[in-house]
Amino acid sequence: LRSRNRPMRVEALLFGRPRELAGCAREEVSLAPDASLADLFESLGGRHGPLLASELGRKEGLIILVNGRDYGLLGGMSAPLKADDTVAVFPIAGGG
Amino acid sequence: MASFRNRLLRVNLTDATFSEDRFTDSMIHDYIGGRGFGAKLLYDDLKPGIDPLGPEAELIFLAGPLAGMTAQSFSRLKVFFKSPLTGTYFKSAAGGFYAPELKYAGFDGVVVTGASAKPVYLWIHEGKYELREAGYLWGLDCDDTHTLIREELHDPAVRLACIGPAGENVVKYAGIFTDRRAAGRGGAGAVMGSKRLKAIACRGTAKVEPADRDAFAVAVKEEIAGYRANPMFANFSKAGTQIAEFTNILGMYPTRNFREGILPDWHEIEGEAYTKLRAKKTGCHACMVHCGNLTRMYTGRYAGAWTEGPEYETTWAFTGPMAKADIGLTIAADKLCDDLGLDTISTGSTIGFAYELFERGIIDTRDTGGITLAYGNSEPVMALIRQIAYRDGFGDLLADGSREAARRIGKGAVEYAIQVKGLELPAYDPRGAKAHGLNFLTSNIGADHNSGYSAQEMFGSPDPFKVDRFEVARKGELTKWNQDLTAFLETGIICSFIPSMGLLSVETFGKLLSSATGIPDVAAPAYLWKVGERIYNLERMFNVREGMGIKEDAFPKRFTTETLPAGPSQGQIFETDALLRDYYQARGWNLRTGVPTNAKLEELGLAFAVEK
Repeated sequence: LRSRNRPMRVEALLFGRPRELAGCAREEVSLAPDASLADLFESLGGRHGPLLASELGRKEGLIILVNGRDYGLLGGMSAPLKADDTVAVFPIAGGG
Repeated sequence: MASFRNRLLRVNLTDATFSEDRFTDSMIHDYIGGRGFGAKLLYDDLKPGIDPLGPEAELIFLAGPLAGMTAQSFSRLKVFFKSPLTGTYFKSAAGGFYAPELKYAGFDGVVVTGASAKPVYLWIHEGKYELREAGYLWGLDCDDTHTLIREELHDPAVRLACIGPAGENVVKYAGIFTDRRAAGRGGAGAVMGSKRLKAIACRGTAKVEPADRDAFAVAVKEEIAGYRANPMFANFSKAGTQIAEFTNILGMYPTRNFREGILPDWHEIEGEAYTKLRAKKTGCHACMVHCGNLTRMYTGRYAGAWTEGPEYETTWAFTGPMAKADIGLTIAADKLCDDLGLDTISTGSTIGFAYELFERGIIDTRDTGGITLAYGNSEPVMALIRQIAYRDGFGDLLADGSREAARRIGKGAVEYAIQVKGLELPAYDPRGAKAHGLNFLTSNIGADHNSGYSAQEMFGSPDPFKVDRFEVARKGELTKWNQDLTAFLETGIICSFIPSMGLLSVETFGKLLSSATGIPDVAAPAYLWKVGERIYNLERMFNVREGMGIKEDAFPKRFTTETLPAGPSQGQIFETDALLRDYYQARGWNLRTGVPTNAKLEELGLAFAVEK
């Protein structure tokens, strides 16, 4: 039971504007074992300031992938995270 | 007809004769322009089975009905031909400034047939035209060809579409180049080289006017407002096409000839790494996106190299296939391909095919002229690009593309030629996004991403519906939607990036077209969708007439028998049978043959294409 309550580590990869605002490309975040994507964003916003919090909060204009899957298909911001998940945040992109 | 010049120049290079055609009202109504005209002209003019490199082959250059005015992102040149690489109908497009200049010079397009005995170039100027001697230009690269023709004509504002040594040497994936922009894919440059046509130069000052100036101005304002309201616009304008970090995180960045979906050290080729090397932003005529970049390398093995680009596809072409992320090489190789006149996708992919054959022992240093091809070492790439362009040594084999090279090598090499209909795949593993892959499989020109880009799977676009990229269900319907949308937007010869980012609504496009041309029907989205489907089916019938069908809608067996080994797309395979069946059903095609049914052709006004 004790090990289940231990914080889990999640990797956040930031690109484009979110990276500029955070001042880093990659961050390891410790979260409660039942944490969601919203909790991760709150933690990142708290750590790097209100501009990043506001950028992550607008969501529209961002592509958010949890282990390479669109977060919308995994339950949106309330999607539960697991230990060692990788969450990548991109400005919405176009390719060619 | 407003916005059109309604002059199509026909040149027969065999006897150096010219004639002019006009587009009929019904042609304009039914096919609108651009890709519609290209498909119809090729279908009508070419007999089935002709040699794409023979004198009877045609090379069609077209500007669209919206080029040369203020509508955004429509000033692209499109070339149409039967491809020497695929044997299919083919379309290839280049940005820049050429298409508006062609219209200012008095023409919507040029159709080139025959073959000249000696190198020539075509000079189109203020409605007049002539062939000029090009012997002194033969052998020159694309940059020098631009410089010397501008000097000869005493006019630095002349625009050119030209070939480099690769086109002259009939490399089957040689492109046509205009100010470092490329109509790269499918071998248009080889067709031009086979005709000994070095360039088409043009210059003019005649203004292009829309039919209804006020309505057109309103539509352009609406288009610009739509760009500005979309967050993709600012992001794309800033970053350009660089998305290597994104496709790696999706686990679908083709690595080691599509055996893996993640390139080790992909951080080296992130968009931000290119932004740091950016010397200047560049753009095309009448396009506020300005997604282009002049990039310079300042350190290391390729210090001093510069290029306009590289775009995402080129970044991939010189990294993933060799399993080595060397940003300097991507810059140097992009410029070398632009200078020599090569399509970067097929060049990199064909070299990557050779890497796998070498690793498997199917070829060795006796075949490669002493070059060792080993993953993690991209040092041989620059030498191989030159060998391909000049058909020198091992490059002569690679110059015909991976499918043909595999056929000549034998020993099971064909399994490792990663192509559809002979066209090498671009920088997305089809197992990681099923509609994206289904588009590669069914595109009328072979494995082309821009014929029906699945922005739904790649970027989460909600139109026409949200999808899971791994799901099979409804991907046939989605692929048809993307392909038909692209087909009718390309009647205006729009930049491919605009639809893939959802920057332009169908309604606004209809307003632009109808106010420019004065044809009320083209304002209606339902009409545009019908034209898109008509074009798509006509192109398909061109290929059917060449003897193609379901057998040619095939991937190499890697995608259907090997799963992606690691990363976010781990375990994925391409479910060809289910996806193709769903697609044929959505298209109303025969499920057994992949041929449009007679009823479908008649419904689309294509009764003339029904097979007798």
